[in-house]
Amino acid sequence: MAVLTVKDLCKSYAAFRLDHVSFTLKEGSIMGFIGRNGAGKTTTLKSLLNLVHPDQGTIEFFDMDFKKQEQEIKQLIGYAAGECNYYPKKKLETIVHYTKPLFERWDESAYRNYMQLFELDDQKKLCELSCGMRVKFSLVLALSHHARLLILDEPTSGLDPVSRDELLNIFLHLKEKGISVLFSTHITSDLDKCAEDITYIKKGKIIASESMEHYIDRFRLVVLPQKTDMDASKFIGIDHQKNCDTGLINTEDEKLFRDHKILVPDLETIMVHMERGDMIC
Amino acid sequence: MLNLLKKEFGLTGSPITYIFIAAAGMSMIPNYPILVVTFILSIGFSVSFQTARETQDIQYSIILPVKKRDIVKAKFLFVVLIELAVLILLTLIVTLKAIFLQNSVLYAENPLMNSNIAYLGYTSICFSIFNTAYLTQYFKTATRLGKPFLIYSLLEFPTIIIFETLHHLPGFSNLNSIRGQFCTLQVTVLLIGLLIFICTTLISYRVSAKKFEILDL
Repeated sequence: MAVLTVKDLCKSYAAFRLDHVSFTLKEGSIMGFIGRNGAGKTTTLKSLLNLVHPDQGTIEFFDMDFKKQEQEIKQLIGYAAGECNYYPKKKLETIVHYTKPLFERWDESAYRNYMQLFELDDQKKLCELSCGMRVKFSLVLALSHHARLLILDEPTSGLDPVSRDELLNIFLHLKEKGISVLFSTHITSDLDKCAEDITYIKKGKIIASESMEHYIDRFRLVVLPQKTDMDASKFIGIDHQKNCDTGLINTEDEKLFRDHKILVPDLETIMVHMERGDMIC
Repeated sequence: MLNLLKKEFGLTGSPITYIFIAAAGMSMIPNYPILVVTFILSIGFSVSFQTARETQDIQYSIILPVKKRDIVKAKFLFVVLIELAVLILLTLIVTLKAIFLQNSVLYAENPLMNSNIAYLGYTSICFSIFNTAYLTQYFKTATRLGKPFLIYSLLEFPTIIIFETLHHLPGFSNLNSIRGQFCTLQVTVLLIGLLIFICTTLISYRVSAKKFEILDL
């Protein structure tokens, strides 16, 4: 069953447009939402929850139309936009006191467990927490009402490597319980650890939404001599390294470069070459 | 809705807003433009709305399991409940004055407005100006506070001036009496004021909810 189906989501601003964004998230899966800064990740995630009003498109959670069943859907999802900056002068305990009655499935013991796991003291004020601790608190709020889907906008930004690893392990644990996670990031190593699907957005358009393994397998990396004079149009994108250049190609074009060293790229490499593709003169 | 309202009072309501409810006591002051009590309260509201902006209350509320228009409803209820609290206090003051101070020379010779039944009507109209001008403008952006307050002020001050001068017009001097026998005219003003308050507040809520629904945050 799809926990989230987005179809033809469009939103126009003066200098940017989300252009028919469509993707689906399966139940119990973890999807990474990737793209460079300004690609439209945050706008898309905000559109899912009506923080941004889309111009057109349909958004369904658990086969329910968001426009018609907004309240019921929000009981089942948790959202966190990175660092929690709400009510900085209030104690965490106070924020939770006014938040929890709104959730039908608030679990006080789960809340206490996550607070302990993340080493958060609810007697502290939000402004007294570090950036990373604030991210953790926003996740505690999202996790404490047994959400079936978590939508997280760059949840690992600001976290130290140990905390980041901790969080990714929590995602894997949630997946085992059948909870789905959609998180945007540009730390592609996070995706290597826990995501099985990715959706790649570039300049407001979805250019891929599939399993990460399948996506990576669609590309190969050709090692080229430094300052190569090869025709750039043969490549999706070329990146200049210290000792050589690398060019990204589709796997089916591999045979055209039999005389060159071919590597299987990782996700970060694919992204860099994809984005550089627009910058080639 | 009750839980959302509790959130409003607990997380974004500024102590200054609650303290300014006590400004109702200023309606006892003779030779003073007592309708400014409504303006003082509006400053208190503005502080709460500023707190809401600085603490990203709207963004937080949207991710809670509530409809977007319920956020507007909660903010309107927050304002209206405090306005009603002030009206109740003023009613108490007006009643006490009518019982114990109706022969007071200070109020009999007061060239400015006395706090009486008509005053409650004027106050209701002044509150309706805040609800209409400030709140509808606020929900257009959920961030701008200066423009809503400016528009509200531009409407509020002339209104206060008109109401202050009304009882100086021929045939309307009874509007400023604190004695019971001149109740009919004053009760009429009160009823008109309450009707305007209820109708404009309801319309303003609908307009605000519609604007807020399409707002990008």
